[in-house]
Amino acid sequence: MRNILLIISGLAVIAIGCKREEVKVYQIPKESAPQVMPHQTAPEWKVTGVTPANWEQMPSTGMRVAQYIVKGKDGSQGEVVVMPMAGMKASKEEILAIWRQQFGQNVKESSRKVKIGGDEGELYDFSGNQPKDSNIPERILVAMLFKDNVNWFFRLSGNNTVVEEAQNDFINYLNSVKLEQSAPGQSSEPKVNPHQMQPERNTTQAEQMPVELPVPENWKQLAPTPMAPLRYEVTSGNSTALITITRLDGDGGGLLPNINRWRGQIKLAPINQADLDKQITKIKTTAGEAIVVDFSGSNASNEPTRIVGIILPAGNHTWFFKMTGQDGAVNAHKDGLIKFVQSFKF
Amino acid sequence: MKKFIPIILLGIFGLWVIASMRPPAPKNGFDFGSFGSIPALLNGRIQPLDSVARNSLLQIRSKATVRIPSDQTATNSAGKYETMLPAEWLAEVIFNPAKADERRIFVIDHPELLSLLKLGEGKQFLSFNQLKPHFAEIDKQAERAQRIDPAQRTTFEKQVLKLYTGLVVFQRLKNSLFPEEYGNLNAALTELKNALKPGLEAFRASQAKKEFNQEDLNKLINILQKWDVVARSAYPRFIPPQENQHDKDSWQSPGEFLLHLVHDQNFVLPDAIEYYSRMCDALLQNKPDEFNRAVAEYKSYLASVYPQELSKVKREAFFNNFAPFAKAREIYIFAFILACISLVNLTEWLRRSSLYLLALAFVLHTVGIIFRMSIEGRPPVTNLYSSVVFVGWVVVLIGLYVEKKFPYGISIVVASIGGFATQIVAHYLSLSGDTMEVLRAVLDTNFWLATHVVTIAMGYGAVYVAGLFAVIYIILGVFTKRLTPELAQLLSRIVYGVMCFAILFSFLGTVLGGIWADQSWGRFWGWDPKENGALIIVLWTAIYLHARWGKLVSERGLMNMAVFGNIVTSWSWFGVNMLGVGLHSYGFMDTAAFWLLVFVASQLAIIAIGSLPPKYWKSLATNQETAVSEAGAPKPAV
Amino acid sequence: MRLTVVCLALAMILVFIGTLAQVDKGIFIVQKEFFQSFIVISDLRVFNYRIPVIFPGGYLIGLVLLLNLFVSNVMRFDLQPKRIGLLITHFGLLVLLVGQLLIDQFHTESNMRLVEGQSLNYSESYNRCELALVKISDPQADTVVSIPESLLEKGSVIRNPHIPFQVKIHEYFPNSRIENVSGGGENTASTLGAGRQLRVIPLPPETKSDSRNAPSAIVEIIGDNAPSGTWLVSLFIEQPQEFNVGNEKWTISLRPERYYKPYFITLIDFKHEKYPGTDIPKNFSSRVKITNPQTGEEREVLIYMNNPLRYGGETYYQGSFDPNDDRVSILQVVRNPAWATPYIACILVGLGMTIHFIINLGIFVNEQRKK
Repeated sequence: MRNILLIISGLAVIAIGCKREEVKVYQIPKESAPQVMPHQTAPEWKVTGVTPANWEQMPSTGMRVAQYIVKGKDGSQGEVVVMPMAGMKASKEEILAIWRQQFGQNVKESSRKVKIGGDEGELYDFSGNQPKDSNIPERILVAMLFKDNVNWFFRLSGNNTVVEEAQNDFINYLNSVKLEQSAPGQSSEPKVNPHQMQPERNTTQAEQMPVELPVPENWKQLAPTPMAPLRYEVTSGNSTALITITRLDGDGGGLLPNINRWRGQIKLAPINQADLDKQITKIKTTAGEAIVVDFSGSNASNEPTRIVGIILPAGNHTWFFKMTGQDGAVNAHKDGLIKFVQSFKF
Repeated sequence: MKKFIPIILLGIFGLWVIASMRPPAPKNGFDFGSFGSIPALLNGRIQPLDSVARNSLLQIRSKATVRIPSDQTATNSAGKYETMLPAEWLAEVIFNPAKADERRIFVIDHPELLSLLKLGEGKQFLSFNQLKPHFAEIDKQAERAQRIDPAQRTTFEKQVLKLYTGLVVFQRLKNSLFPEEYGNLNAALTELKNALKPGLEAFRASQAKKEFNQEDLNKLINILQKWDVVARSAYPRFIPPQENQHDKDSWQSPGEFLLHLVHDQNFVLPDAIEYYSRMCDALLQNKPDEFNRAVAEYKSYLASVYPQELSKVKREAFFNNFAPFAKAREIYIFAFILACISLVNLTEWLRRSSLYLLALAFVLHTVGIIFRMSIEGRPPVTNLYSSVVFVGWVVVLIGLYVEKKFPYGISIVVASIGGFATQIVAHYLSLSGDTMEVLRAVLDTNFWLATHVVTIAMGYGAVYVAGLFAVIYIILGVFTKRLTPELAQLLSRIVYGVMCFAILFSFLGTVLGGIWADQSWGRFWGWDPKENGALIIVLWTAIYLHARWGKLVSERGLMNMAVFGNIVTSWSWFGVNMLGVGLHSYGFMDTAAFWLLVFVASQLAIIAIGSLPPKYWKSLATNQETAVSEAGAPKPAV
Repeated sequence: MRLTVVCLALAMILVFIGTLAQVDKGIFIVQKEFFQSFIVISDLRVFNYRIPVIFPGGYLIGLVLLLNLFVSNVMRFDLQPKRIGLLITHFGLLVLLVGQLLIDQFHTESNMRLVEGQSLNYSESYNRCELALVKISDPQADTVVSIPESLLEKGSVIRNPHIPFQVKIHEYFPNSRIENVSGGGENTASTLGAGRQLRVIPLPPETKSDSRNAPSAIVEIIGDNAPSGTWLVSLFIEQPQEFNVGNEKWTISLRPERYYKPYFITLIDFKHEKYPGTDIPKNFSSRVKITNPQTGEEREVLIYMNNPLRYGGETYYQGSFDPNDDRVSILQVVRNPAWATPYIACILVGLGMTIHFIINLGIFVNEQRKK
């Protein structure tokens, strides 16, 4: 009997120990396009329109699928920018409100219909009195078109003279504009998860937003989203905060509107420039002077939330470093964020 | 005459216990005892202000009492001291923050921290104001320390963080009822009321793009920002909800409420604010009668609208004041001393005295556990603290039962050691925070808490009882002549019986744990450190029993094994928490590691003594007829 | 009896050492190396020293105990009434040990990560990966050929009647990192697909219990109509890469092992409640919808802590959530056909012990009374 037992156990040992895995083959129903794709690539847009000689085309970057510099007769410059925004949560009204606010209390506003390509859109005209050294343009003409689930914005901005001169050219451009899209997924380069990638060292691609930065070790990089290509999580004990780094062209829409947008996110009332000036601190960085703001409010679930934001204008762009989250973590990492920005090279 | 001593002693201690059931006497006429049983929401549960005070004090100075030097100018520990009741201190903090800032409640005694802040040597007591100049430095150090992984922090870093946290708690307390800069609640409310109408008008006008008064608007925004701080940083939430009255989550801080009201524009103060405002004024103006009246009227208001909450917090406030566990601890120690003397002296009246005291302590212990269960609405074991208290209870229970069967006083020694040792450990654990904290989601199931956790705790208790009896066997046998063959055999049988009990409950408890895990996340056994620890206890008790049945080990060897059981159980209960891995890590300690090692060393020492050859045993050398074989004790060399 | 004591003692030491080893290696590895093996050949880190460990493994000790139990209880039939309790107890232990073995062999755990609104008909393994070749050119259904990670060895060639080509593994990295290589060139990972701009950096295996290894491999499709060249597949490359073999279209990717089900689970709503004013989690719950095209079933059900969904032979538990995204719920999916064995075993053991204890207590009390 003992022998039989030994043999059985021996077989069991062999069966357990020497299992080799096998290739499995099975069928599954056709996979429809996956419901939620966090790394969805936006379709490639091509925007063309009739432009006069004094509009110099700039390479399109990030969200701006077309960009021009308008050279005014008096030497000053204006700018034309075309931006599509798919699936944006902010409604048209909210965006208009932001722009209105940029111009402060004495904004003069008018609107009318305008033909954009073959469709009808709306053209808004904002102007106000800005102090001489402000980043906010004196006047902007903004045309908006909602087509095929995409919000299109065409913006002409600059001082009063330039915009007035360019107005007709702008409307001609709008009338003639063609919006073409290259089909998504045609490129055979699959999207790679940028979690662990080094930033591109290729200098000819200086305009490309890097996918990785040399951030402090305790910033844990997260997957990017369409609105924020660089995201990091920082923690302190049980509390967490999220750091996003974005780069927008030009002044990125202006200091005050962005700050008020942030304040709105944590249920704080908007402030005017004067109050803002009282609340900001300025820091010196290797790329120039940056502005630091620090607000505490509460988020949508009424949890105390704090935002520390650093805005750094540099060259043709403005960098926004924003840390949002619970007080403990924000507090613990504020210095780190400031130091990072101070030594920031791009 | 000597017959009556046990009863007399019982009577004396009994009176002492009953006397302490009285609520604390009013101080300077102010009835802080009553104030202490007002409910508020803190850390997810409704608790009496007395508990709020104690829990805050624990964070601020690691003690739930306030005994501080009276001299406001110095910082060292010399001079006269004064004592404040916890609720008295809290009342001052929330109603009279300026005065609270001067109380020297913060304690610093870590040498590096003292030198960093350039304070003298030795323990220093500082007030908030005295610490103000050092805030920047403390802030900087704390921020740095916070980024370090908790397991890697030095004691300096831990102390800095503790000080920082204490300061934050204190600051939040001051701003829980009203923004502290106003000095009192009424002033704050009045200013808000006055600024509200003009401010809202200005706001509306600005929205409609008409002319408006910027100053009025700014003033209102300013005031609202201050109340916003109260809304966000209030430590307890004082205001009971107007709707959803029994929903805990709807308790608010005055800041929240006021901000909501501004939007709502039906500006009616909640009743609670009225009462608090009266209490505040009365305290500031030193009018005890008015204070007491406001407290009493608030409580009758609460009794009509929130009766359950009020009665629950009253019970908890009473429990805090009565402190049955602290009393039980003292009485256990007395019982232990008397029982030891009775073993030496062998007098019946001493034994009886110790037995009666043990029983009294056990009753207090039981009462305490029942109170906690009724306050929390949970089975007796919900966290590490309550597990310690419950295991102690089990040890005493088994000890009492054995003493009844074999009235030699030895069981009283075992039970009383178990009693006071666990109470001391529990007291130490209670210093790290609220012992009645709410349960995290995964533990929120009364059924499994009542079955698995209680069964395991009973298993632990039984192993300790067996181990303690074995320790006594060894000590009596080696150092005295008292270990007669009859006594030896009796003890051996007791240990055997208790070990059977132990394996039954340990196995059952472990299995119930597995079933709970299977029901909750589909895995009966996950090799988690705590599961492994429980398994090790089952294995060890099984080894003991098999060694005994197979006559593989002598009686002395078996006793050594039983003592080893103490080490095994302590590892499973406390040691695994110190590894910090897996699902079971909800107890975080480090001085505890030191004391655990001390305990393990002591048990190993006893095993070493127990392994001495028979000729070194006083009892065995004189009692020739012993049937002890020389087999020794085969133990795995762990 | 001696053997029993020795085995129990060895088991105790093994469990203790295994518990210590987890601090450094993580539960998953320790489980495989210490408890689910016949011999432990591993090491233990004590403070900063690594002590080599060679010890009988869990399966070996279990097997010896099992045989011992069987021989001593079943073979030598000691049916004294006094011992009936012990007999039942030991039989229960036998069932427990065998049951644990069965569970080890047949139990699978995986997870399903859903965003609100998302539907999935598969769950993914925590630790295991597969090289997935999917034929997508058939309009009726996709054919998945799943090659377990354990078969990926450098130099091996995988053949299967269901695929019209062979897969040759040029390189395999159990844990790795991927880097962008600008400008192409010599050191890119592969000649086709995403690997043309990437480079693989091998890493030592992960030891922390909550991080997983990220494997990568460089493979070649060999066949008459297959594209010539190498491909880089990696856990980091989430989008499958396409290639054509004759008139069949296939994709290749290295991904967490998938367990497909004949039904869909859709996450409708995820709630994560904390105690007010704290960070302590109070309750998690996921409201999901089961859609089963085969049975036509379509119903909603709520899954929350300590309250799983049992469906299709699997159990869905509210496992976890994503701290960065409030709309994400992670369900733990467990398939455990041998689930009943511990329950049966424990009833037997408990019953046996209680009977034995009562019998003995009765004897004990009687003896004392006689004195």
